Amino acid sequence: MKETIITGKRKKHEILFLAICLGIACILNILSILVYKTDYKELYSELPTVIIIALLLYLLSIGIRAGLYFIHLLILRIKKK
Amino acid sequence: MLDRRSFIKEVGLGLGAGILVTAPWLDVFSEKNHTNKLRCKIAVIGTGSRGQYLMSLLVKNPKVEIIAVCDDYPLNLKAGLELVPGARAYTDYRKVLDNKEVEAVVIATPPIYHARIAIDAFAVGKHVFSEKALSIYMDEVLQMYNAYKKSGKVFFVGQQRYFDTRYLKAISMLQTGSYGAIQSIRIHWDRNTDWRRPVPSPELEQKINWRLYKATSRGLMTELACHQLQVGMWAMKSIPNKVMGVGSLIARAHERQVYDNVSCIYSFDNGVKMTYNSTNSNKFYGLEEQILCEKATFELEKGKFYYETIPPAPGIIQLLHDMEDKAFNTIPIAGSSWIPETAGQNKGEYILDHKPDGDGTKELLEAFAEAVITQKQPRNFAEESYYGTQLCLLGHQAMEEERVVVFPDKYKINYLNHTKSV
Repeated sequence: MKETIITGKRKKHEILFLAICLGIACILNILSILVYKTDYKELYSELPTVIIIALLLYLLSIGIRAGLYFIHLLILRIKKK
Repeated sequence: MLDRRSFIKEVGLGLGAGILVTAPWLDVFSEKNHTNKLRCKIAVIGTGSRGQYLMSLLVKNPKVEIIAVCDDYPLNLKAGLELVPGARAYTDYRKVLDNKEVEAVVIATPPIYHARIAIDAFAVGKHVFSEKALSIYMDEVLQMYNAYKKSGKVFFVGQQRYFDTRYLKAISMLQTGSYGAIQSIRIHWDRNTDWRRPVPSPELEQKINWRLYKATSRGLMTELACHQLQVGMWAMKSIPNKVMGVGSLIARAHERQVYDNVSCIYSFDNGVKMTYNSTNSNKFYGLEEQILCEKATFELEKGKFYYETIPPAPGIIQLLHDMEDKAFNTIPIAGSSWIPETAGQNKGEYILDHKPDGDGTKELLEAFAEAVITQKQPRNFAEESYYGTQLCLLGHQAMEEERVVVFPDKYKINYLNHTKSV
């Protein structure tokens, strides 16, 4: 099997994306507490849900980025031809 | 064997002795009385199916010795003797009462004989356990109660729900007031059985199938309602003073005289209504006692309760649901302007954190043995049972006379909201 190398830059990049997703999920939790007038203890009691949402957003971001990458490759190939 | 402490522990709630406010008769298990080495000598009168069931529990109680059995139907007597081979056999209950060794009698005959046997037993100083219903006549029920009071002996009735842990805990929860005042009580018992038992020869028809005839039974009221109406009264801590009702024979008119379909509405002084419905030709809804309070609904037979308002889901879950709804639900462009108020989908919570072992009959019989040994009548039990039967019979009267019947003063005893008329 071919060896793959994850560069330090890539790791930082992915951690940044994960942190952004976690931030978005936390903001969603805070907004929903305010909008639906629920208990503020949900800031910590709903942390498992927040983490799951953050992971789902991260997976979604991987999908979007992969899609954009393939489109980018396709455009490059067309330009070469 | 149960003592009061273990029984209260089983009921739980952390009420401790507070349970005795809800069920003062539990004091019969008082650990102050050291009765472990004592036994009471009991005779069972009426060894049909119910009598045999009671005997099967009594023989397991080390504090009980069944020394006599009595039945005027040979097959029943034989079955009774098979359960207690050493017991003396009688065909006449008066001979049982003449037996000086017998301290207490358990009466499990058809209800038309309960009063006569119990009154005679009290007269000769025996303690009495009578199966419900106490009688099919209100006069006789009062006579039984008066005979008990005069004798100073122990009087128990086969109302096992008073010892059923589910009911004890539920009623004590209700009476804390945490669930708000009772608004309504709805009781039903639906069965699809004909009650008919095989008869070896035609002249025995009424003797064996006594439940089906007006001369010997009040049908659904004395067989089923008797167990359930007392629950409403117990929960309310009050006796309903009015009842209206209708009874009919719909599916089984060809095979019985008593109603196969009854509906009664009992009215308490504070306006709360207790409805009772029972049929003998459809079993789908089974039996239940539903107690509707301001803040919760109790289903005692199921052993569950349901809060009236359910706490909302966490905000983030609500947000996800709303997003899902907006993304995938169809948008109605026309439809009804009224949404039917269908029953709540609240799954509720269990009253007990474990499945109870039985329906309270075992504990009831243990309590009786304990009371016979200590010669102490548990508080309120006879009175609760007295009204348990009187309420069924009052409902029956309302159905027969097709009018609103007010509880007659002459049948009132000093209990709860009733005062004995002078």
